[in-house]
Amino acid sequence: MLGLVAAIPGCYRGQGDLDSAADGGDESGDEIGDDGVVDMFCEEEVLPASVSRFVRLTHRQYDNSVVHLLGVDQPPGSTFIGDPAIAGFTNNADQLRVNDPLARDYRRAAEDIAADLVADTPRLRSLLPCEPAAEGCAAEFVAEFGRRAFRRPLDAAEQAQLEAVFAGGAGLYEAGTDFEQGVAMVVEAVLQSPSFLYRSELSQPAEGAELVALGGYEIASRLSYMMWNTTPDDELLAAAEAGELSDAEGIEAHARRMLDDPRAADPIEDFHRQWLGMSKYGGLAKDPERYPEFVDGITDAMTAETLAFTRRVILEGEGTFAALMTSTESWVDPALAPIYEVEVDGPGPQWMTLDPARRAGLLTQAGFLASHAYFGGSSPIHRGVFVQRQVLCTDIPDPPGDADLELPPPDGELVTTRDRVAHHTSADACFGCHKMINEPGFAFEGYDAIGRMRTEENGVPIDSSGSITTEQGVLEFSDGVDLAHQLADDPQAQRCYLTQWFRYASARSETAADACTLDGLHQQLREGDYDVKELLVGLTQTASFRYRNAQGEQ
Amino acid sequence: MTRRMHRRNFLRGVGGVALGLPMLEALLPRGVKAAAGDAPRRFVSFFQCNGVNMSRFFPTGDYGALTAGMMGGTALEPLGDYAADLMVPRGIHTVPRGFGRDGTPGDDHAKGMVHKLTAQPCVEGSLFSAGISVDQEIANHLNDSGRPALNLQVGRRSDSHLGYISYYGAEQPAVGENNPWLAYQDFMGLGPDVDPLVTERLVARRESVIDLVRDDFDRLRARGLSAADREKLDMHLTAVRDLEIDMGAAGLVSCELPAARAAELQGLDPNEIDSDGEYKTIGRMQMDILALALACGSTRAATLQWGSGAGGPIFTWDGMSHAYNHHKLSHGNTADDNSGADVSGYEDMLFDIDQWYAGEFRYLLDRLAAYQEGDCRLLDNCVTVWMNELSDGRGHDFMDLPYVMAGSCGGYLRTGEYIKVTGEGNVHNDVDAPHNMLLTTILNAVGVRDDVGAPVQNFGAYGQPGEFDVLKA
Repeated sequence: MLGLVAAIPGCYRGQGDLDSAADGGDESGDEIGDDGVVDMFCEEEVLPASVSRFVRLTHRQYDNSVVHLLGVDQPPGSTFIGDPAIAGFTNNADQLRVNDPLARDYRRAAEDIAADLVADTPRLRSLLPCEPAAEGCAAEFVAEFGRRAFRRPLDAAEQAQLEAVFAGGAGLYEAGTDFEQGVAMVVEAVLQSPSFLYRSELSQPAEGAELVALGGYEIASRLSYMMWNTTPDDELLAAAEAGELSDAEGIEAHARRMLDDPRAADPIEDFHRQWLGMSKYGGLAKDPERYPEFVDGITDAMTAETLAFTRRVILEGEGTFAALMTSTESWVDPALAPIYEVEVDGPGPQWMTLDPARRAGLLTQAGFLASHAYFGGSSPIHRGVFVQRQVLCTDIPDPPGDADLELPPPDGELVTTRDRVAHHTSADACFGCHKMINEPGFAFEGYDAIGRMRTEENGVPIDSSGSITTEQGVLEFSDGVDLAHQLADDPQAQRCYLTQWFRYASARSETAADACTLDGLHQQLREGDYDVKELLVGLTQTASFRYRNAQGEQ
Repeated sequence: MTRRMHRRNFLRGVGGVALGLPMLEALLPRGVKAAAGDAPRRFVSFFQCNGVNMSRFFPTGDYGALTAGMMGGTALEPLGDYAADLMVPRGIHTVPRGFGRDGTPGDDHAKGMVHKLTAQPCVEGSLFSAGISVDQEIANHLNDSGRPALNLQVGRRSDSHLGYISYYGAEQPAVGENNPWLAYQDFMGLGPDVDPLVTERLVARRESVIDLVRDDFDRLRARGLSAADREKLDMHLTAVRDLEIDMGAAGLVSCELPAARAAELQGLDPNEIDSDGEYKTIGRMQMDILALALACGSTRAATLQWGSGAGGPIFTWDGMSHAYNHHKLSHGNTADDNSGADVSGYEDMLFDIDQWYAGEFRYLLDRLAAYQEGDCRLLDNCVTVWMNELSDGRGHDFMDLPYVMAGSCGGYLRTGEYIKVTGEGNVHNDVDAPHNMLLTTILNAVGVRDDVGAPVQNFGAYGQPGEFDVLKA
């Protein structure tokens, strides 16, 4: 279905000529002008932002890749020195570097993986395209494994060099035949090579050109790591070889194929885990007297619930942003049953439908509510800040260092949390920001510090009403469910979700050069029902996905 | 390619057993031949989070000679035996200063973590440091082949700006290793008691890998690359080349922990290393490794970070049985965000924690004192600094920082003193003793020189140029 292409007027799709030395680039039919290329979503020419040509694999991608390539049983990524987060995402290309500790981790991992492989004859044999005794089998193995691991065919020099590495491996391991040791030696070397560890974009611009159309293999790498967080499968590599990835339609076809595969769940979970700040769940502590239901292991159940929800909604269910914000399906573990006030029969989690009057999507799930709450009570301020920053992409600064972060205790007229927060943030110096923060936070006052519903606090009925201003104007709401439903269709919230995905999928923050494209894709998604798979496919159709800005390369 | 090692000094190991360990020639300032008293000088940071109980931390009595008596009854009491080796400066403040004063980003925990070894502001957005930290600066100048500083941690790690004190450069945090077994393996290179045939094979494999990887890099770098990409690949290639150095030591005498201790490290459950229950055990293992790494010349700078900013364990050992973690107690509250109830007696609990850390600092000093280098102890050739995120934790205070310095650093610094660094009457000020001057002093004490071979004038982007002369011998 090529609806994406047909919908945009004014997008030239005839035969154009391209200046590109990359393979397959000549048939894409894009119009390249003096200022860039006509992007599918933007009626102007777009010069994509300059990005790195070497994007290191994240640890998750490393793990998935070695499992895919070698059937590794216990991938080592969790022992690697961690990557810092930028704008909430740990896969930012600028931060993905190899310093001394990580180089050691990679070496240790490669040596362990090779040693395990040479001791596991059946697994090693399953990687071979030929019988070891057959003539030229070493060369054939090198060519095929090299192509899969480097995500492109080896050139003659690489082939020769890796064959020499193979030959030199005999006698260097504690087990295996000479042939098997050769295999292990190649694996050990390849896993430390930059051509494996980085997604490298090697196509060169033609003389004087600023723009390079990425070659088929480069597109294949981008697609497989974006859609599956792992190396391209044989089908994708074959498509690259056949030139199928040189135009937008070919890319789209494979993007859709990949989204229909269960492997698509990996980046979807990883993205939501980071966007929602789920790594905080594990460290939560709650007052055991007020919340005896907050038992050991409950945060694992909360994490599992939200991740299963995102996977199910996007890959199996309605698939829309609105569904993420409003669906009442829940993967309820018995530990969560008291929070959601349902009965779970059996010892394990099961899918249930929660009461739509009480729950709506991600913002009323236990993990979100509990991680944006205090040890002893709810926190409208944290919840309000999350709605503004993460759901609406509003720039809300941190509180000043001399702000008194301690709420006044309940006393006299300050009965509820809402009273106390409103009073404490009412000073002029505070209210400038807090007028944006407080009310979206109050919307969730109907849920306590562990996410359970409540209708009163200290004897006073809960008031979750309020308003929030988005680009479309003032939204009045009566409670959290109401707010979630309104945000589900709000253009600012949709655009923010798109932006967050752009950051994760592109491994960089957006720049001014991306604005026109993202606006255009946003409009197109709004004309549909803001389907998340369409969002992901759309990201593969942009100029910055398919072209590289070669300025500044010497 | 092997390096010739000269057997010069005997080093006494952690079990009191003399190990015949060579003084590595490469440790000496470049171009200088070894001579008596010319031992290399090192810097160690022992970093504690969350501030201290200021009312009971410092020595009692007047400034001047420091005695065990002055330390009695204070948090420093466990360090009484080392009075003659210590220097406790008063009146130093962090730069950039606390929130709202210097117009730089970050709350006081961000500043407490980021500025302490850098004197650089936080970068808007990531809140990571805008520049390099003093330990990495020392490593760049003085470590063999520019090997980075040894950064170790105890407890849970954070991947936000609260998780790091050391930076390779702007927005490049150095992730600390919190698994002592992995740290030890890295440091050890090929490991103890390895069969020579196994070693030979490993070396051959590593040489084969290095050749391939180097060629791969050369092919990639031959293309037209942006400056940023070139730097990225160069950093990786340098790191890989550093690994080669371990191979150079293959087959020669290597520094190692006693077998029983190494076995304890190997026996650690990697899933438990960051649990509160293991905090003390891991901390002591890390200190053993740190001291060994310094003694063996593996590095000239090392940091040990206990916990993360605004973190810390719940202390339930060595006479403490707290119900709340260090950060909560530093605020005297049952919750990290002050939303809970007051914790009565929290000041005493903080005092107990501070005194416990003093005991661990003492353990580190014991390890450093156990190694002899010529006429001196390794301790004397180092400046080992117990430092903190904050001073008063509850107030998120950045003034009158608690510092405890040990060792004369090869005779550069005074020792055995309780000393006022600020010229102001009240030590609690942000006027004239910015902490970047302490970092400058440390750089010069260790022997870093600027491009023309002169002493370092000014480290960091905030504060003042110059050293704290009053601390120098």
